[in-house]
Amino acid sequence: MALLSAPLSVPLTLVEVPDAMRARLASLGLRPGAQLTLAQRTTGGGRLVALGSSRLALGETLLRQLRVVVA
Amino acid sequence: MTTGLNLRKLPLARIDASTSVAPSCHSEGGDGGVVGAPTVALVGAPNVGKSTLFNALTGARVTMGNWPGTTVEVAKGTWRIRWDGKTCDCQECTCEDTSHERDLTVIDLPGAYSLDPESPDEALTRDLMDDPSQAPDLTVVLVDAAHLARSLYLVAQLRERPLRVIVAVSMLDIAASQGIELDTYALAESIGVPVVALDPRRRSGLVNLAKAVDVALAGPAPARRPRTIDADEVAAVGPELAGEDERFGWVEAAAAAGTTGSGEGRISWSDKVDRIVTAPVLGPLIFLGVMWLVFQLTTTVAAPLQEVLGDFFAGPVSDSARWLVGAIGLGGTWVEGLLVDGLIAGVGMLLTFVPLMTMMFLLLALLEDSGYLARAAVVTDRLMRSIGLPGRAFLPLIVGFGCNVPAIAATRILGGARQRILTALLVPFTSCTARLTVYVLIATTFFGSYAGTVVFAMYVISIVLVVLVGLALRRTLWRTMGAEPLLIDLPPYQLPTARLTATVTWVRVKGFLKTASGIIVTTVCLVWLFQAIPAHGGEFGKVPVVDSVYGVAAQAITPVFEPTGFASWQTTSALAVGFVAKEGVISSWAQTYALDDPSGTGPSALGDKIKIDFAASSGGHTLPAVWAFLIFLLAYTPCVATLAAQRREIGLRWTIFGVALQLSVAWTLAVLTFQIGRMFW
Repeated sequence: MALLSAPLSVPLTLVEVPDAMRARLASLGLRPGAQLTLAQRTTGGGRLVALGSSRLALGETLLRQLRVVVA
Repeated sequence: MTTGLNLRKLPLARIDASTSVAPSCHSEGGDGGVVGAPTVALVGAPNVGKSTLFNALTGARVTMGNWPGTTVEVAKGTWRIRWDGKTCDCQECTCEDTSHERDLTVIDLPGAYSLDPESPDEALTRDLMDDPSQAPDLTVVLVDAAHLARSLYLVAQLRERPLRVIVAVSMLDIAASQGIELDTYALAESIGVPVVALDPRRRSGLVNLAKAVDVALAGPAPARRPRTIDADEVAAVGPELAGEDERFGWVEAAAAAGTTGSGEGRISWSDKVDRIVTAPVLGPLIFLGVMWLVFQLTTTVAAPLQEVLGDFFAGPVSDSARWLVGAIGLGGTWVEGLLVDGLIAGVGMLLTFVPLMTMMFLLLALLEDSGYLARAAVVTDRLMRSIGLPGRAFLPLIVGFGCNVPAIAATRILGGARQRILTALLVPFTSCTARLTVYVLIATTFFGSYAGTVVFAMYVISIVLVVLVGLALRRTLWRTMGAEPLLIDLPPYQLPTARLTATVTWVRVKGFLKTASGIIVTTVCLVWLFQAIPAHGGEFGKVPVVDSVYGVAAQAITPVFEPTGFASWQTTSALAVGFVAKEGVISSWAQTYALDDPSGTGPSALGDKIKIDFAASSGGHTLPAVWAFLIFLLAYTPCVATLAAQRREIGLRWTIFGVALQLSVAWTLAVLTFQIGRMFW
């Protein structure tokens, strides 16, 4: 499923990232196989992603492009 | 857990405790480093404290400037390492007295997560590292202990090049609070270069870094890290992806060797704060509160100080200068004019901005250092995205409504150069408080009890202008910009340290003074000079403004304003003075009318004269001409101090482009307003 429709506070595994942003996402730790959790909704339809000890704010557009499965 | 300098791989057997690291107090090559000294580059991801480390090493004696041929701003400084006493290679051998001082040139390169360039900033770092003629003698990679795996990707790429590298690990306290412990010895073993633990914010560990750097500079660059890329994988996914995977494998192994505990699953107080400040409804409200506070502090604390300083220069300082000039027999001559109306007025104007700029930079440093700025960017992202700007651009634009000068300076919180340029070009369209004084005079003169509504309308028009010009620039000049989706790494909240905040504020205020002083003082002196030169005979320095070169030039450009309905020479010369500073518009009017008729005094007399002028110049369509004037005043160049700030932040070319943009937008809108308006009024 798209990360946008994933439930909050549930451990997820990233399975697919958009090719165009692969390097940028990887440099922040968002690689296929990464374990993450959606911490909360943010203003403007985004989500706060907990990835290990990192906290990343992702916008709606990107959330649609990332695919995850429940871990 | 072990922290400190890893010495296993270093020839030093003992660290001399008397070694000290002191910020340099002089440099032969200016503050931009010492000529011929080894170059040390600082690299690392954004928000790991790289610039803080740079300031700690160089003592803020730095030069900021664009890297030649790029728009990337790079800071350069001198790092003086002092060695007192003896250093031994081993206990058996003879100790040599190695007391010496050593100067190193430090370059603070822009934040980069990797050497795969995503922006001009990252491209610069990659280009430097790949070019043997430009590569630094040593590269210090600052990594974040709390996000070690992420930080090490850059190290993996640097280790594939023949470079001397030292890894400096910061944020150990945050890592420890998340249950992550770092073993610098194991990490150094794993990555093959020295590892130093330090805290740039508290200036600890710097001596160890100095030692490691000195030792590394004495030796050759270490061998590149061996790479074993699986041939099957290359065939399956291509060489690039396979290469990346190999790097991530190396990074994961190094991070696993160097740390214990993952930090996962811990809800820190930082998370709890984020639940509130980035929440869909509360987040924007808190953001507005913070913005209100920034606005209040800059206006209620700094603005009165600005007034006091202004009065001080216009009063006691000017009076003393006049007295002094009089005492040496030059009273009433051009010398007095140049000194009082040129130099003192110019320096006075520059210095009146100091409280405002200091307050702005202080607040920016606090917001940045605390980690809130990254959250603010998330909250305002969607709104700003509509004009192609990231959320962070909201701050400079809000500040612009107070004063454009610190607002331009605040554009440096934006990561990308293009976004910085676009925002700096939009700031002058935000209506600053200096313009307010003119609105109030005009509105009370022409609109009576509706004055308040008219002033409010000016602010609405200002916002509309920012949005429209933003959209227009984006659709023409920057069609490719702004498509990047929101992806922000939120640093953990930290308590700002007084020393760091003070240093950052000082460096920025100093930078402003250095760049702005020339432009402001020169312009004020030039305006005085042109007002002192008689156009058609007369004595230098004793000519009415109308007969001066300045007055004649203002009259010459007056026909340009014919289609705007406010083409009287008094109004156009007031606008010409307003180009220097909007504070001068009313006084210029008062001065020119007073010179015409010395008996007329007081604001109502001034208002009456302005009314007569507008009625005459507009052919009876006074109100459309007044609106045209107000809009022109709002949209054209705010003041030379803004230009000075722009020159510093976005360079001369874009500053000139900005002036042309402001003048064309202002003139076009004024003409449209008058020409359409006069059909109805």
